[in-house]
Amino acid sequence: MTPLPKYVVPGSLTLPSTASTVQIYGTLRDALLTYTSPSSDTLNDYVGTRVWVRAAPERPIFPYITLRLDRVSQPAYNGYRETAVLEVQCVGKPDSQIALVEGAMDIVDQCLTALMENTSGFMVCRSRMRQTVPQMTEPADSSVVAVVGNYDLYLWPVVLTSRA
Amino acid sequence: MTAPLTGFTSEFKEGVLLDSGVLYVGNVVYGAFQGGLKFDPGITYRNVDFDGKRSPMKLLDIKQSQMPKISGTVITLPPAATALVAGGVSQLEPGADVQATGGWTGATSSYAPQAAGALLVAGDYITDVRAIWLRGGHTNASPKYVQVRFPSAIITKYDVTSQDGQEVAIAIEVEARLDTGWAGYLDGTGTAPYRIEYLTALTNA
Repeated sequence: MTPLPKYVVPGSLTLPSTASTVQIYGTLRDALLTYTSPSSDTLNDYVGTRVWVRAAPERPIFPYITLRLDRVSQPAYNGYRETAVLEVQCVGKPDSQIALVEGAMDIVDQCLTALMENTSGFMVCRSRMRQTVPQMTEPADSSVVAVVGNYDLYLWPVVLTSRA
Repeated sequence: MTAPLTGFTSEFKEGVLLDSGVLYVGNVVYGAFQGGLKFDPGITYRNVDFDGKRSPMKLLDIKQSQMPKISGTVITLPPAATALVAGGVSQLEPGADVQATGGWTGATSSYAPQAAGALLVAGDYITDVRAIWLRGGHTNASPKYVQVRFPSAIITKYDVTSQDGQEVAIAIEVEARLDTGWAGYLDGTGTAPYRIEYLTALTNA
């Protein structure tokens, strides 16, 4: 069992699940942390378990990953089906961590573009757009390196398919 | 409050099919496709007519013909003779031959279509064409697929279209052919030239 996302009460998550937004985040996070690539790499090799929902804690250890989900329900399915974009940011500091950051995002790419979670509800991801964030210069922190990926998902989440 | 009507049920994930699918010839992947596969059973029905008939009537339908077809756009044309040939049969044209020598321009490998006017022989047909899709209930531990299977087929149509800035598109149409050697062919009690099958492995049994 991977460590819980921050602020999650122990025992409150049953993963994998799409029964709530918190559980969807937990399911995606768990999928990332338990994925092993064909070359036996894991995200843990790059970022440990530092996969945060929304934002990293203050004074974080680098590199780390943050997840942020934008979701849209479609009227064609009476709101039962939704499409979503999962934004995954991997941030490293100092800039010598760029290889770690890119490597971590390669694992994320492999995991998420093969994702099909059907244990509770239904969640599929097949495509993404990935960008290396331009490195800032003064007065911004020029030692920060980052890659951001936007992953396109479609879901039939329990939280929407179980309405009364 | 009233929830909207929906076709979503607890059986949804077992019934839904995913992704663009893959075309197999036997146990060999045909190639990489662009835009997915399309299967059309090509069935035509005739409702027997008679004077004074006011609407199509129950129990007067005859399934008149079938032209099952799988179509799609493949973007690979492998140079190796083994890749062009599945089961000893050319994939693009029935009866074509892949020649290692003797090309018109001295090519090291050439694809030589059959001249028109000859009746095809049994060996010219492709055996076991399968369009396979992933099912929503699939897991690595419990694989689930659906396939449309043509035991015998030929590629009746193809064209090659180059596109600026993209892979060359080769649109193909594969039609099923009923094997007249099968029992029941003449009296109409035999099977159709295609089936839709549920699988737990990609390999052909």
